[in-house]
Amino acid sequence: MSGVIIGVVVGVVVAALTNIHIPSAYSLYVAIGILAAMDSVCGGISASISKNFNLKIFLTGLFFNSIVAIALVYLGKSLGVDLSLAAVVVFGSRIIQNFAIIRRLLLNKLEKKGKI
Amino acid sequence: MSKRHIKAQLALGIVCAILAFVITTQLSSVRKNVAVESSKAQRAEELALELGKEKEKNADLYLQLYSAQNDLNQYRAQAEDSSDYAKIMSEQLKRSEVLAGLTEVEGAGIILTLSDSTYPSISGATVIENEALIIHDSDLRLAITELAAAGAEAYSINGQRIISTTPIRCVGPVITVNEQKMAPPYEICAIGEPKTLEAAVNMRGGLRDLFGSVGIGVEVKTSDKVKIERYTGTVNYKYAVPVINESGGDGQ
Repeated sequence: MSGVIIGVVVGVVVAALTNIHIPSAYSLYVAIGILAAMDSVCGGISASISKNFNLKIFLTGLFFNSIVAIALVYLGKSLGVDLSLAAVVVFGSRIIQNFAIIRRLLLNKLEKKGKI
Repeated sequence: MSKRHIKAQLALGIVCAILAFVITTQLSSVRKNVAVESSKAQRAEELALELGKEKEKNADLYLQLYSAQNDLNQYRAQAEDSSDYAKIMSEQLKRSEVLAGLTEVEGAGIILTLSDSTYPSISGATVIENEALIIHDSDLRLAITELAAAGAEAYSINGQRIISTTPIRCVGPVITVNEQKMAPPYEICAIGEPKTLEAAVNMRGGLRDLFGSVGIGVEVKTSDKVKIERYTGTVNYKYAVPVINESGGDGQ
């Protein structure tokens, strides 16, 4: 968990210092990309807690999920159908599921240690 | 801690750092974009307010113009009384004002009303074919030209006097005459021999045939008393100056 917390702090600080602006035209793509990446990170955290983290699966999942999600948004824009909704629903539900898994794993760990 | 665990933590940490960076940037960007958009809306409101104020100012200025013209007319009447020369000058001035469209005129003539076609737009037709169903600036120019050819002496479209420099054109979806926006139906008033003018509209191959073929409404009403407003804009000739004929006289 320590890696995650340090990473988040570093990312926020660097973003606050660099002050990059994303144009509103790309904001939807970035948002969907964020959602896909968050899904992968949640999966990675749950895997690392249950000790079956696989670096290859994590990195490929991260990149391909993001790229597919962004491509889906682009396709939706050219077709005139809001396909970003599909990405939002799928990744949203997966993030919630992953959080549920993380919660259970943490509870199990604490129970084993006899803290609860 | 196993080597594998450290690797996992490192990968997660790096990805989380990138993710946090992107999320923070996105949040601040979205906030900024929303602010820009709301300021745009605010600007539009401000401009609308300013436009309203300008319109009020315009109305005031028109009132001033009319009162000034009243004064001028009074002075002119006084001058006419004082000498014969001034009287002749004043009559000539009046005549040129009528020619220039700077006075309200009335007389026998026709009122021609053109309204957009009642035909439904054809679903299979091209945009250009369907465009024939609405009245364009060229249609109004054609109507004015036809009436002029039939001897009309003064004309107006929806109350806008047509003078020698009047532009009639399409600006987006509306037609402007003397830079004033107007919408159908277009009421063209023309002063001239009513029968001739009416015949110019109704003759074979004339305006009625031309417009009627695409369903544009053409309605002609003759009247003994058609009133045509004066031109309210300003006429400034900056570049055109009269040519003085060298061979003698003033070219008349």
